[in-house]
Amino acid sequence: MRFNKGQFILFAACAVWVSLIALGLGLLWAYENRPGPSTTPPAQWPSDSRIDLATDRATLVIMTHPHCPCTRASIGELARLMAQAQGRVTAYALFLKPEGSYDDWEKTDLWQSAASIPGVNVVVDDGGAEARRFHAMTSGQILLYDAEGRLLFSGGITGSRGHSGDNAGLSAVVSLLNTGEAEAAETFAFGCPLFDTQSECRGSLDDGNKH
Amino acid sequence: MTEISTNLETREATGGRVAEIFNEHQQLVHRRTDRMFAGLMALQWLGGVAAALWVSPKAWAGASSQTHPHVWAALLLGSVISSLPIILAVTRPGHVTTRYTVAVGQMLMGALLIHLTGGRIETHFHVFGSLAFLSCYRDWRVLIPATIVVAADHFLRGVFWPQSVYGVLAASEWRWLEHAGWVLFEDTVLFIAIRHSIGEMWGIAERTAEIESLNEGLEAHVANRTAQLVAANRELEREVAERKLAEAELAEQRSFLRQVIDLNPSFVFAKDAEGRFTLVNRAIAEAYGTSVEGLLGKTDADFNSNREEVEWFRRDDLEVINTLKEKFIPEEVITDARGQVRWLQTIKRPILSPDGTANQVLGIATDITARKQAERALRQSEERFRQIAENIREVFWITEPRDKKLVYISPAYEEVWGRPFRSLSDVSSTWLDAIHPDDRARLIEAEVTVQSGGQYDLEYRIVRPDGEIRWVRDRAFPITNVSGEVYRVAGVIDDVTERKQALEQIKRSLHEKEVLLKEIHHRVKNNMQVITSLLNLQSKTIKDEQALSVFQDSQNRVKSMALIHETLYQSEDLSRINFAEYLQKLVAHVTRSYRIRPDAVRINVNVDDVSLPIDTAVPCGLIINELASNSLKYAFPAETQGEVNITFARADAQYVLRVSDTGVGLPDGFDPDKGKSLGMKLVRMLTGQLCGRLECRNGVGTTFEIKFPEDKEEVRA
Repeated sequence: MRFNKGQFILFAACAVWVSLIALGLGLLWAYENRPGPSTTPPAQWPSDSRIDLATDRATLVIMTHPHCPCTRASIGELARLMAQAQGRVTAYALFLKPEGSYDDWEKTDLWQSAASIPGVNVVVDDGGAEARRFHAMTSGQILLYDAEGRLLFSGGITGSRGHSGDNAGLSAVVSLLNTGEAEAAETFAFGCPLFDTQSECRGSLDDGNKH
Repeated sequence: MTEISTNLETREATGGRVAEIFNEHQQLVHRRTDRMFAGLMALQWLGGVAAALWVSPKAWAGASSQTHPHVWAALLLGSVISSLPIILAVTRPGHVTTRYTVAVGQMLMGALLIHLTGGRIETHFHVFGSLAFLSCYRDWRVLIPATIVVAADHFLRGVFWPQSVYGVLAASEWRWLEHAGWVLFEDTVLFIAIRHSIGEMWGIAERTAEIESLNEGLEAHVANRTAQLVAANRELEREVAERKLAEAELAEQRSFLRQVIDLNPSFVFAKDAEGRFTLVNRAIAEAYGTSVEGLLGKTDADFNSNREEVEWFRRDDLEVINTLKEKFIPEEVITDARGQVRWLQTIKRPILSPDGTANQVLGIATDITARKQAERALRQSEERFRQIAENIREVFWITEPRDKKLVYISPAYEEVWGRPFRSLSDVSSTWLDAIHPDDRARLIEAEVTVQSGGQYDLEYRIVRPDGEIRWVRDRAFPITNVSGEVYRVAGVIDDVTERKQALEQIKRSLHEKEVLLKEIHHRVKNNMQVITSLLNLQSKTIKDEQALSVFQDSQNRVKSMALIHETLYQSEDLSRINFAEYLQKLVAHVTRSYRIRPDAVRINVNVDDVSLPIDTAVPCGLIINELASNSLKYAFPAETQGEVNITFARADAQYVLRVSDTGVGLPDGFDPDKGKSLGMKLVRMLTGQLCGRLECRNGVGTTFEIKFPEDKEEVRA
């Protein structure tokens, strides 16, 4: 079977085309499945935290970068979680407000979405102080503490970056809240970095570890 | 039954056309859908970019941000996915590879959009919407690559990243089949719809083919009928054209025949049994003083006042009609409208009917009046010629050189030749014998000349039977026919014996007188020579220079006259003298007599070639002698050098004699009209004899000029 010139050009173009698409989709998949930097959160509720630990139920803290588009999926999953938790958890959405940012920088659609979830308390985290206290570096990271202040879960509640739907993190949190047990106590968090430099994060992390 | 058979035949005939129409329609749909997808995919790409910019414009890290990778993915990957389908849809619309590529690209674009929207379940509707759009191709096969892409995407992601596609963590490994099943469900629906649509397209194609077939049949029928009508119309036009052509030719022939018979100077006519003209030409109509139209239907009696002629014509006409025989009438007369009698030569012929009878007569009458008049004139001319030829003394003769035959010779032959006239052949046979033997050659040569077209005027001698010799003058000239050939030679012979004898007598007398005149001139010249010699002898005894000069002048004067007579008796013309010849002799004598050396005084003579009568030549010679002698003696003292110029010219009916020199000139106060010398007196006197006028100019030398008329007698009169 012999190809003429036109057919050969068409075949070559299709091959190049498929290759480029495969490469592009591969890069896209790689990006979406690359988790944010993970740290070890404090095993005990930080004492210097300005957030009050609920004593009669579990307390959930979600780190939120108000402008991170990936975190929109996490807020959506939080809404599902809160619906499934049925009052067994007190949730705090800490909205980062970097130093020097303009007023209401943090008041984005995510703020509105989070605020509209029943049982979720929206708190401004000025300068990321609370995030540092919890050693959090990625937007969308969830920290679940029991009434005694012990860390039950740490990680994300989306399967990938900005991707809604069932995922291990959400299932684990819901299971912990409902049964007290979960297959996993830690998952990857997918979202924007809360701090723009690695050194800053590292410094904060070091500080957190000291606590 | 016939109708069914016809329909089947039509279907069979249109089967190929149905497929052709269907394929054209399908190709049109494919091309149109390709173009639609080209636009749709471009819009999708822009929509994806817009969605990325709207949903996730930036990726943040603390307070800093950068363009979100989704934006780049939408921009770059979206453009890559859309590019090839758009290019193929634009450059190769309608090709199967184009729509397969479009199907794959459309599904990949759906996958990208699902990614960009974070896996929103709503975005998955793009897959089903795309399948619906792909069904616009009305080609169920394009659903196959689209479905494969969807299935492969779900299969691969279900294997490697299930929650990204199924939204659950632990989906069954066959879960992709559920999704693919729904896609296949839609494929099935679309397949059914496509089959229906294809069926409708086939129906449309069949109906279109049938309509075309019917139209073609109708058009063929109309074209056939039109062609038949056109052919019939052309045949009709051809027949009309042929008829017109035939009529035109007939009219042309009639016109031609009309012109022929009208141009014929003869009378052309046809008459019926009642004598009425049924055909006439212009000649007979004009003879009767009417027109062709005016003569038709009329009879001879209506125009000819001569009853006898009318009856004669009528009788001949009836004879021809009744006997059915042609009749030739060598001569007959007709009195025309002006009352003049014209001679006719007529032939009449019956015009036969198909049944062999005749009720008309056709006649052609040639007007021979001119010929009759010519014949009469010829007879009269011959009579006059005969009268002249038989009564004059000259001999007229005519020969035909080709046959060497004498055609005519007048009766004067007997008198001149002294021979009896027996016959022309007798005359011809004895003709050369009668010529003097010495003159025969000239005559024969002259006859050759005249036979070649020339003429001759010859005098020769004839010898009569009694031995008497007679001189005749024979003038002959050729007679040519219309082609210029000499067919006859005519001549006139005159007996010039007496005139010839008288002329010989005159010549002899003239010769005697000329001899006598020359002798006189000789004697005069000799006498003058004697006088000159006597004067010369006498002068030798004279010691006085003046007397000697007078003697010498007198000798020169006598010599100048003697030269006249000497020149005259030596010339052919005894009445006139060649003045140039005379003047050369005179100047030579004068020069010698005064012993003039040529290197001292040069005498130039310039004389026109003129001949002067003796009564003019003598005074002119004396004048020149006097003036030249005067210049040679007085103009150049002490042997000085110079020139003497003598010119004699004729202009404006008068002669101009000029004698000039380059000498010392005349003394102051000299008046030529009052000069006392013998020379000047002679010059004035001789000028008077010539009726001339003397002028004298004194400047550088002296110039005498005398003008006198050519004809002195006329001046004197």
